[in-house]
Amino acid sequence: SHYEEGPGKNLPFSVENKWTLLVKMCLFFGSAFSVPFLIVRHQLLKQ
Amino acid sequence: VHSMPPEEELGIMEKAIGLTFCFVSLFLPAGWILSHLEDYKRPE
Repeated sequence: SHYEEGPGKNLPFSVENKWTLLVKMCLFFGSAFSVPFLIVRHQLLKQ
Repeated sequence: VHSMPPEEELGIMEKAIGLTFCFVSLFLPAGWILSHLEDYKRPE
């Protein structure tokens, strides 16, 4: 096959730099986790 | 398909920093909102 093979080569993001990966994962999972809390805040402020 | 040993072993400091950032990014926004819940409620 003409695709690159090996660890991290079949992912849609880079795992070359662990600190960049840490920031990306924090943003990805952190933003998703905060959504329900932001919705509650939004609903309370709306009244 | 076979796995290999890690290219570089993580030090205790790197693990601590990584875990701290993971937990802070998860719980800081949630904790901020939960601790200010009363401020978001309008008095009738």
